[in-house]
Amino acid sequence: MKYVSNGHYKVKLQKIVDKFRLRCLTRDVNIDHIYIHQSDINRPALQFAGYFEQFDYNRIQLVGKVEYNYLKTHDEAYIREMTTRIFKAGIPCMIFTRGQVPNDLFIEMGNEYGVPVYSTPDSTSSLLSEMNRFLKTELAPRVTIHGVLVDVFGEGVLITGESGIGKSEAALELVKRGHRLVADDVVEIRRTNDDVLVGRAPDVTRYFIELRGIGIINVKTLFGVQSVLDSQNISFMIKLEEWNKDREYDRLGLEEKFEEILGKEVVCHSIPIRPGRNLAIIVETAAANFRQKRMGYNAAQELYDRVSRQMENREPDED
Amino acid sequence: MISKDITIQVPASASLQPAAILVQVANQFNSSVRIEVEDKQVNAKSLMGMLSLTFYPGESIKVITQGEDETQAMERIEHYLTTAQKN
Repeated sequence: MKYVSNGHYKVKLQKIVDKFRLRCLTRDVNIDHIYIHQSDINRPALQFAGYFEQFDYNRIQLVGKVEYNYLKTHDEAYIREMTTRIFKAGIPCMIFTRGQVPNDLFIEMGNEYGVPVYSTPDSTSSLLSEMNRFLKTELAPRVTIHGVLVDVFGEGVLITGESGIGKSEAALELVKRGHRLVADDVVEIRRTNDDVLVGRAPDVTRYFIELRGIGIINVKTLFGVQSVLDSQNISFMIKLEEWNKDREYDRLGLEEKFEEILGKEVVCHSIPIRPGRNLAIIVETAAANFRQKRMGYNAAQELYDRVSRQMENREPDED
Repeated sequence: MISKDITIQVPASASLQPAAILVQVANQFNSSVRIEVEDKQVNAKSLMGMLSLTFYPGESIKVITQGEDETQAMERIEHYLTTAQKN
């Protein structure tokens, strides 16, 4: 099964303004309808120089000291021409860093074309990287998965399986053994960069577990703050399945199976369920084993090597 | 797989009872039942999933059933969602 994101996302400009405390210079521009769709940010140096091929006009435009000082070497008519072209292209907003106060012309253009202009005391490169990181998270591809996410020894373990197979019970048992619950039943996953899948609970259901026959319990109030975690990166997946004797289950763990979540492959163990199996201890061991593999030791590989050596030592001349 | 947009008549999702009943209805079937609101899709057999959605009477939600009894499942769920409940 593939878990894919449906659609692309946007973030309200107001949210960015609030987050980075940008000072608005164009009071008359209404920004309620302005959304950012791009996590990249453009520094319009080439546009100030008159080069408009492949102008990323749908990105936030960040004007640092260099760009602005360069522009100031030109006369008023030139500045007016380039600024008009930039604003006319449909940019979402323009931000001046290092507390620079732009020429009145920018305010005039902003008001004319309905483009907000901001100023911030922050330095250009740090604002650019912070903003880029923020936008990457806000605009990350995401998907909601039916499963449970638990932090076990620092590894985010995503437990999936049919309704009623015992995911929540497994989570509860893990919590009782000192591990931390991230999300029960509904896990919101975002791919914030190429390597990382971050899982968390929707705000409404955070810290809650539904136990069939008992009802809803609040893990945080019942077991304390040490038993919950707001978000965690997903290390691997455990798929709980009804025991099926015709199915092959992994006996050695030499080869890993994967599931694709938002285009990233995640290690997935299929675990057959039978009454009396202690799920929590299996999940715990899987997490410990995952850590050990990552630290460079693979038990299945060592067993394989030992068996191979045993074969070599017993040369064929024996009867 | 059947997919259908249904305009709901049950009380708002903010009250727990309608969601709990829907989860029970969905659980009577072997088919998987998923509900999509805006860009979010959840398993209708999961109470937490249903409670994480926000919808109001008169709004349209997408119901997706898949499996051997998908037709019956869709009928029952549509019946529940479109029949205004008293109390």
